[in-house]
Amino acid sequence: MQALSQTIDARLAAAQDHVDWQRAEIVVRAWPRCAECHPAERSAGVLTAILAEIDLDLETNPMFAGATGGKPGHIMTMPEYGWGADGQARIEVPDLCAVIDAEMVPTAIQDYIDQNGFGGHHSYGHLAVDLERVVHGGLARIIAACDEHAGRGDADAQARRRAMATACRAVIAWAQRYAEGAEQRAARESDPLLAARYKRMAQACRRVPALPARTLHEALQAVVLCHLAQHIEGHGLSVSLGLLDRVLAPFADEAVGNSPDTAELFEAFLLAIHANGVHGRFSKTQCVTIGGADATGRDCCNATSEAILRAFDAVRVPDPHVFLRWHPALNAPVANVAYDMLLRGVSMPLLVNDVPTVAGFERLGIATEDAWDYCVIGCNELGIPGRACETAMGPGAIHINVVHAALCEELAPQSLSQWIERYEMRVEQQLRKQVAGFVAQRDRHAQERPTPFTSALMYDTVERGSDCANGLRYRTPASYERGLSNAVDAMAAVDALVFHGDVSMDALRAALRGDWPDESLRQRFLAVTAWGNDDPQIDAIARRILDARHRAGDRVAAALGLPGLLYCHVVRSLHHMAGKTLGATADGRHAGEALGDSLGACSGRALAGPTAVLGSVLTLDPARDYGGGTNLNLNLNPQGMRLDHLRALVEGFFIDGGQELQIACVSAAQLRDAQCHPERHRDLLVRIAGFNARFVELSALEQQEIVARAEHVC
Amino acid sequence: MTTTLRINRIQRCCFHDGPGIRTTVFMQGCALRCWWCHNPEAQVAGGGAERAPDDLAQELLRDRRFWDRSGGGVTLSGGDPLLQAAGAAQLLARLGAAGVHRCVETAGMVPVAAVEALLDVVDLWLFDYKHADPADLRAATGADRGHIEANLTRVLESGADLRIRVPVIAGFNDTPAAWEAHAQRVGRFQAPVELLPGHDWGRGKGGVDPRRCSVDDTVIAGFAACLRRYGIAIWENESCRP
Repeated sequence: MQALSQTIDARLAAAQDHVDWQRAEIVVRAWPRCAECHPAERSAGVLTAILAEIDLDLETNPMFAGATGGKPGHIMTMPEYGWGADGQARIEVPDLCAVIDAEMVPTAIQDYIDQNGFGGHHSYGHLAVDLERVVHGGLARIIAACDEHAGRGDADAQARRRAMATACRAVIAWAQRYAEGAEQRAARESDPLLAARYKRMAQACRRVPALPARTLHEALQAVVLCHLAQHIEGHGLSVSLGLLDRVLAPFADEAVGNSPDTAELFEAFLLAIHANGVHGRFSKTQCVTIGGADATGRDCCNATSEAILRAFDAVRVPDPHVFLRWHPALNAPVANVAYDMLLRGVSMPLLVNDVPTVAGFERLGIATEDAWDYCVIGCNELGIPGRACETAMGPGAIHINVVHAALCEELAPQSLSQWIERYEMRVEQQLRKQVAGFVAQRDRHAQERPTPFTSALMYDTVERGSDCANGLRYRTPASYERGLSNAVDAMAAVDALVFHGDVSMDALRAALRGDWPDESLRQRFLAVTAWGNDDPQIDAIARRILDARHRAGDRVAAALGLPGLLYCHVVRSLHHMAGKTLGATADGRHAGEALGDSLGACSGRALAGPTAVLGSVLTLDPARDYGGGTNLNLNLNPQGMRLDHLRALVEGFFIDGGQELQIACVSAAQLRDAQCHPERHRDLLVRIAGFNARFVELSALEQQEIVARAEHVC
Repeated sequence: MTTTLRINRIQRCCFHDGPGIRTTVFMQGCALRCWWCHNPEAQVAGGGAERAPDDLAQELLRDRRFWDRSGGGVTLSGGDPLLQAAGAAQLLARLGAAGVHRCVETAGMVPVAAVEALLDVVDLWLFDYKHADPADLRAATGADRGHIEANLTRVLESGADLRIRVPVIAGFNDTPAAWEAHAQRVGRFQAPVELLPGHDWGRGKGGVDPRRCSVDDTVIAGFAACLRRYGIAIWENESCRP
């Protein structure tokens, strides 16, 4: 890590989590002034007020301007949505939730929330804007486009366009505030190096994001400001940074050789993104995607791709996180840097395969050239910058819940086929309700809580005068799933022991109601081969479940006039949340226990080793089954493993059609040492399920899960 | 005639049992009784599961995608696979026909006919040579040095690719005197040597001797230096160093 990065990192490490009411106070004051406006203009007016008043932070990071609060570690308050701790934050960072829970909400803000709160703590996120227009076009050009189209469309479209222009002006004015602040800071700085940095910051903010960037620094500065402005506007979680190396390609010459200056630039950039909290230390899952091919098959890596990876390796922050798009002709040096990082236990980059991913988007009618522009927009969810960002729809089919409910119907199923038929019927009912609910929710967002700045950075929205919540080029609602491995294991066990064995259905249902009072019976269910062991008979059950899910989903999509649904199997910490409210299940799981933490085997059940996990997953058809993204945790014992082994595992999986891999090469012994001596392992990053975290900052629950996962590696 | 194999277990994705990513088949039955053995359950001939070679080959081939990209393949280990030479030969022939790289790991305490039966179907022999002193070897393992050396010589005479493997065990062969004797004896075979540090992973396991067998890095370095002085090449991290 460069010296400047170490200084910034130390400042961030010293920051205490704290609630920052400033944004909320500004909103409460500004809202009444805009109350009678069109909702988009009200949003733009409120954003203007926030960016005009919000404290600047010029001290934490002298390389890049921009902060969502006056000092790092703050919990940003968005009363337009509400107040409280995110359910996932409660699982992942419980001590942070204690800070939130202990806070007394000021009366004026509470009154405002009671009258205007939209529910939740922030807007929907899970999006990637078109950074090309931020870096190479500039916001002034967007404002000009808004003016050019001013009279088109109905009054609603015209108001939204005006709001987009206002919001862009607000961000430009915010940059000017930073420019002024940086000039003053430079003037009183005695250290010439630091003064020069502030002067460069000031010069950059005088130009970007209003105008096109001319240098790598200006480009990154434009990205920081516009990225953080989306957070401030209200998208608290999962605002992606899109295809960063492609956006920076025109400045790649500056990154050739990855000099200390380049390394310093990228490291400071990542720390600037990392520093700005929504919920303090709680991961916002801001994803950077690099690599990949374009529609002609050309590899898109450039000198910034490697520089970005090396910066991630150096700063070891859990958030942002980085995905490398793999394809058969991926730039070898970039791939080698990635494999080397993974082998050293960095737990990044995550890997996603272009071939099935693009096929998945094309299957839904997305144009080929758009499909090849895909990126990761959240934990693992896939989208297309500025064009398709509806992958994460919140609640979706939790396979094991549906399978369990079908098993517990008054008249129990008598065969696997009958059970799957009932599953299909239940999934269809659920999807019908949820997809319609999701579409309505996005429409309501556009109507009541539009985000005009974020919308201005999307494709087509200025021309159409639409909001990004429901007005992107592609409308692709998804089913957001979990618990496939539990469902397969439950069906395999019941098929072997009940439908074709000596356990009566009554005995099983009694055992489930009593949370497995007879441990010997539970052990029999656990002894049946599970998903993730490359057993064709077991893997065929997964195929049957997903075929049934498809039939149900296709009927739902057809009824809504959609080309299909994008299915995701993304877990993050939701497997804990889902498990807490689910009783005992036929896969041998006790009531309240977590579900499987990825598309791979349930914890402790991958007895045939990692290649068998990959073998099972390869029986799926990712383009059809999980076009919206999956997370597949693959723990590998680093002892004796070399880079060529790792490369063979990755390429063997991807060439045969695998979609996504999140590899952890960390031994259980190393993790246990970190539990005993956290001070020695502050930089130990682990991949949980949909986010990275510093192991020592995780809750005891999450730590134990990671240790158990590592212990079960062959 | 098809002969069945008795299998203790199959371990996929191994990095230690030959080149590349390997699937290791631990076969049932061993003539030796090494006190540090981590797989005592594989020593007896009668246990394990019975498998037909063709059926087993089909299952093993499921990892082929990873072997092909890493230069890996299948390793027969044990127990000692040469104690089931007929079935092993059928399995290895089947794998060879499919173009799979094949290793056999043996302690060499097997009938010479078993060695002869496998000479044409093994791509790399991983041949244990645990101790140069016949009395110490017999006391700790029950093996006969002369018999092992005769089999080792037979494999080498066939021109087969061979690596001598030495488990380095605390209290057994971890002294400079033992290294010196080893180097003098092994040097005659003109084959590279791979030193395998003993480890204590299996000590909690039923049937495993509770004595510590692990050695530290300085023992391995000392042993390797001694072998090098005798001109013996050391195999380390899948590459051979003079």
